[in-house]
Amino acid sequence: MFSYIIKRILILIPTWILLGILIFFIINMIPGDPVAIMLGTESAENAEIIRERMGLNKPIVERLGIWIFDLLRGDLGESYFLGRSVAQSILERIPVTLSLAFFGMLFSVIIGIPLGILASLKPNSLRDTSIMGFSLLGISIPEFFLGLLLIYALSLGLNLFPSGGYSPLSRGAFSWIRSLFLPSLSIGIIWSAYIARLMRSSMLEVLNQDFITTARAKGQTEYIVVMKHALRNGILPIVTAIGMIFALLLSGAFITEYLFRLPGAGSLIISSIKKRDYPVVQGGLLFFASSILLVNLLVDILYAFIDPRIKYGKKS
Amino acid sequence: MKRHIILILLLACTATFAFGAAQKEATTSVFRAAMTTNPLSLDEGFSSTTATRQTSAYIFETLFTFGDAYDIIPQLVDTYTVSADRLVYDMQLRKGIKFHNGKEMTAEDVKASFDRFVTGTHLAGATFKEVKSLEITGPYSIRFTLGAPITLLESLALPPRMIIIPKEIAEKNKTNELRGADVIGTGPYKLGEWLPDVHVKFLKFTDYVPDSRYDKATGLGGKRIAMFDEIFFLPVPEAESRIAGLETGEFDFAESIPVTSYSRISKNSNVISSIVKPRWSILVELNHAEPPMNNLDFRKALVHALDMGKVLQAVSSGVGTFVRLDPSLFAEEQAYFTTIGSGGIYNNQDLAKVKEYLAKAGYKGEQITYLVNKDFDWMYKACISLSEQWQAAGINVKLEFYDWASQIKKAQSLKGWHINQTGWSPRLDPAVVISSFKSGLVTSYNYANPKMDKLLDDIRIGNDFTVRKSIWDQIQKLVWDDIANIKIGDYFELEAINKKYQGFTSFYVIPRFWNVSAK
Repeated sequence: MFSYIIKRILILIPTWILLGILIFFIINMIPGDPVAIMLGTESAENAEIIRERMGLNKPIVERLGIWIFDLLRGDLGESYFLGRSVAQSILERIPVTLSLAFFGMLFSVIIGIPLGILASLKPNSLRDTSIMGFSLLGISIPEFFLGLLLIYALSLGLNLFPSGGYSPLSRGAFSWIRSLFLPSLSIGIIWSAYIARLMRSSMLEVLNQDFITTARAKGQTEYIVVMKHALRNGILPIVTAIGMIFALLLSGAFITEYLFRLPGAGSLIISSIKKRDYPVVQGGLLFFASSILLVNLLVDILYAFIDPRIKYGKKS
Repeated sequence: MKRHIILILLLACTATFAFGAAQKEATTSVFRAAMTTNPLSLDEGFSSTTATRQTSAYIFETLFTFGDAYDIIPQLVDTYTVSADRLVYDMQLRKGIKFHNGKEMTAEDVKASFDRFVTGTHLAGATFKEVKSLEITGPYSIRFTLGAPITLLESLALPPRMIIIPKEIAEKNKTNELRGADVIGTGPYKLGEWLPDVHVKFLKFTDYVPDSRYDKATGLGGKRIAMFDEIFFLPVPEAESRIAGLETGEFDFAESIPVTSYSRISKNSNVISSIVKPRWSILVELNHAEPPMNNLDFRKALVHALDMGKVLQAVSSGVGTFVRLDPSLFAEEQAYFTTIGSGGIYNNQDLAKVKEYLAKAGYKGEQITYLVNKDFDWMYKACISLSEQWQAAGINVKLEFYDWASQIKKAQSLKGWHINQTGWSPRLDPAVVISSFKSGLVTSYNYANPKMDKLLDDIRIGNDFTVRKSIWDQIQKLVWDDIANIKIGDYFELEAINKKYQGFTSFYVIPRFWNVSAK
């Protein structure tokens, strides 16, 4: 197990370098100019001086070399527009992104898993069709539209939650959760639809297997059969999905953040792309891509704990 | 049963979080403004964006500034004299003005601020190149000596503004942007905190000395008084979120509300809507080096193909209150407004003339590349209407979409395009327009006319208003004679404030919350 983890981490290194180079070239090759954004359209007189100060007058390969050299020293660079370093900019967003990812995930699991199980117990029944209908709606509904519906219903209509904004945990758990409730619910509903479908098909597969018939034949209650025998086996694909969803949410749920005014990772990356704030986009994408790689690794390790049949690093 | 349990649990969670007592600031008066975007910098020497100007106006002051009528008024200067040849300006500074760090402002600070602005910042450009020297003639007096009689007072007031900061801060940040604790000015509010994408927090500056020469606040100056303890500028890029927050009372103010929401906002008894007039000049810039745009007859054909009213209707979604036919680069609220030169050409759609001019220009249906974007909804709507009208007139216009950053870059490359969709914020003085028409500058897009160059040189001379106005009239006429660019009309923006406040009026691109108070 330990050697497997080391091996996986070693594989991460070339992936990470390749990713960095790719990110650098993609962001630097799209049209646009941070200098033009800074100067606006009224004046272009000092453009060359500013370009020199930003280091943008150097050839792209030289800039890549400087960036990688700085990266190896642990320096992600300085934002052109945020008045702070890239590392600080990212660190400031992490609590928001983590909170949103956590609560979004929580909602999707709380809603998705029970719905998937309920649907699988009576396949093709009215209950199953209704749940799958809800799931189809959840998958199809645009994030933006669902967010607006929630704002209109629960904020404007019933005045239960703020329409947006983020209140950090340091200002109190109550206002923190309250500020995250609507955006998390919005994310949760969408991903719960996906989880419910996955849970249903996984459970259906397990419930048709011989050991479930054996368990029932032994006279075990339906609750034990489903919750102990079937669920433990059926949950594996869900763990993978949850890992992937969580990793995706860590890199930012831009539309939700944008709509609910959450200063998270997604809005940082998108607003930096708009402004061509190259250091932030490069550093940010690399950071969040790395977090996806790490979450994937963690999910693989978690597998071994959930399913004792999986043994890493041993030949079967 | 299980489903019921889940539902009950969810409802219980909802109720717990929703009905609890909201935490409120009990003792401090706080004003929250939902703004469209985030400043790129708090230092006007390093960013000329609207958001930077909006925040800077609260923190920093200048020697001169603009009044409500876009007139030049002294701010940190008490009195001044100008020599007969307009080459020497002696200025007495106001005494007892404190910086946010507690230090009193003196002539030393003004000189250090000027030196930094001219030599160290990104945006000073050539504005002060004729200033031969700035001398300290006393603890509170300075003397500008000029090499040519330029419009010094206007230049000192125009954005990007030459902000006055403490000498030690200016010297410490000679070529650097002001950040964090170095953001120190003399304005009615000091910087509390700037968290990009979260907020800019202003704190009331208790040692601020209101300018008692005026009865009330005017423009960006006058008798400004900080009424709120704290003001938050919250970047809320999504219009629906700004409106929702205003309606729920989370925001006290929202800027740039879509005109399609005008009736909704007007019907809301809790808010007062306000129209920012003037706000945008809708215009298209032309690449004068790219054939056939280098041919005046072709440019005339472009203008005669247009019914400007139709474009404005599209831009405003039919809400006429927000648009105005206007051929002038200065709005009618401004002193330099003129319609000279536009007669018979502006909004004079004549397809027979289009045909005639196209034939004269030898136009054979070559593709005309039109740079456009969707970042600004009104620009997008304008370009759709304009391109349809040009195509209907037989001009083969092809839209090329960019995001705003790419569009600016592409336009300034001066290659591969003919028409550039843009919009101008109100120009505060004819001096600001020089960069759009002076030959050889990137932002004049290859337009060159020696007569225009001479007029632009003349308008920089610090003559009295009547002389400058007559020069500006000639410039505006030449813009139409040469079709240097095409002004389509004016577009205004909607903003709204909670009804519980009084004293707010819209001005320029800067919402002013000084002198605004709770009823």
